[in-house]
Amino acid sequence: MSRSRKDKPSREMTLSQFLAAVPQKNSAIKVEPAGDGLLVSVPIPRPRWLVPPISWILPFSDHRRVELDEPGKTVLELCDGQRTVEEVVESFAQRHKLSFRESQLAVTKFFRELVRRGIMVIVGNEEN
Amino acid sequence: MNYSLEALPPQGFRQMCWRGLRLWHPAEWEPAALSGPKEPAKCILVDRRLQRLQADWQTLRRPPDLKAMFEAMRHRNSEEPAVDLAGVPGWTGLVREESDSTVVVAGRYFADAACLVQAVLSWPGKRDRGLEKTVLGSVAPLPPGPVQPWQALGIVAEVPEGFDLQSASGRVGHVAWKFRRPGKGSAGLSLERIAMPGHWLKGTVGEWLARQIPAGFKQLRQLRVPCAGHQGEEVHSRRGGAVTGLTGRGVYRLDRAWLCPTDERVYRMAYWQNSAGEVELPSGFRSHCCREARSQEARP
Repeated sequence: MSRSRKDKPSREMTLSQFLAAVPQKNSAIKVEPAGDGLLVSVPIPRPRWLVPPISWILPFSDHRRVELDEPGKTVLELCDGQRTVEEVVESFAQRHKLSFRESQLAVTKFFRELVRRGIMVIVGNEEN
Repeated sequence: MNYSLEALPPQGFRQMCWRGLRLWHPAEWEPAALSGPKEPAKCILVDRRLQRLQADWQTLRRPPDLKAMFEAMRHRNSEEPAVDLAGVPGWTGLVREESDSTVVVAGRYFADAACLVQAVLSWPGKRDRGLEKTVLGSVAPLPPGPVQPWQALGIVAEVPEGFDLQSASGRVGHVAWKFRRPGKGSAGLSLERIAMPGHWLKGTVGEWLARQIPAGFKQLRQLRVPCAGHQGEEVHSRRGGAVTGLTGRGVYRLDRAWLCPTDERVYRMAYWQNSAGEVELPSGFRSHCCREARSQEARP
């Protein structure tokens, strides 16, 4: 029996919980330099339905490439599995002379993209 | 008036001037919302985790009965009685103690400016009465004068009387305000502050500024000028039709930009007006960036 939406645990975090959480890179990604930024390759599983003869017609790449600009590279490099979101935001703010809030908005938006593309997960700290 | 606008904020505080109201706030509180020109006047300041202050203000010709207002609020919410906030003259309010925070709702009517201000302060943990006194004590309507100060999100400007705020946007790292002077030969003024120039500024500020001239404007000349204590660039341009071109009339525009090495931001201002010749920035207008530039300008 499938679980209804109501049964699913809430993935919403308070702002305090989010700042205390640790961004973790997907260990399967491959990263290579591309100009000032980075080229990130994210492996993607082959869909079960993609079998011959469909697979003869539809090309399939086993990874997705995401190009990050220089600020994106900075943020990804700051995510070492130890720093919390708050520490990443602080470091990014110092590096680019931004206020904490400016940095927080920019980094949060960027994290959302990285999570959506499978490059990163945000691991909450149970104590918070 | 029993408040001084000349006073500077204490160490660790910042001054904000928005839509005719001045206040000081701790440097770690940052504006999260500033009301636009068609909205009721409001500002919201947040720290890293919580909203700390919301101020709403409006013109009221007759003084309201603040005690009665807060009494009515108390009856609706079954809260503590309205109190004169200790040590903050002129302010009346309610103090609501919650399990892990205290919320102070305060109001004051400034009779000279016919302005009612309501402020909601949130104190996570213990209420800081000293800080509360400094913040509420700094709130003051700005008196009318030849120039109006505007100060928030890193922009500090004195805008001549008659210019109304037309738009204010605060995208991440890009603050932009636009003012218009209504009437015949209408004039406009815009201010921008843009972060992370190391990332997006390819080439010089002058080259970038020349590319920012709006479509339809023809560049007349470009020169280097001192701007707020830094070396800046100025571009004069003009827009005019074939007929108006013969008379020399048209919309003349002046764009000025500089890179502040202290703030690591590009500041840009523009002024445009219907005119028969090149325009200069309106008399009385001033804008600053970093503290160093401000102190240099203050020297005789």
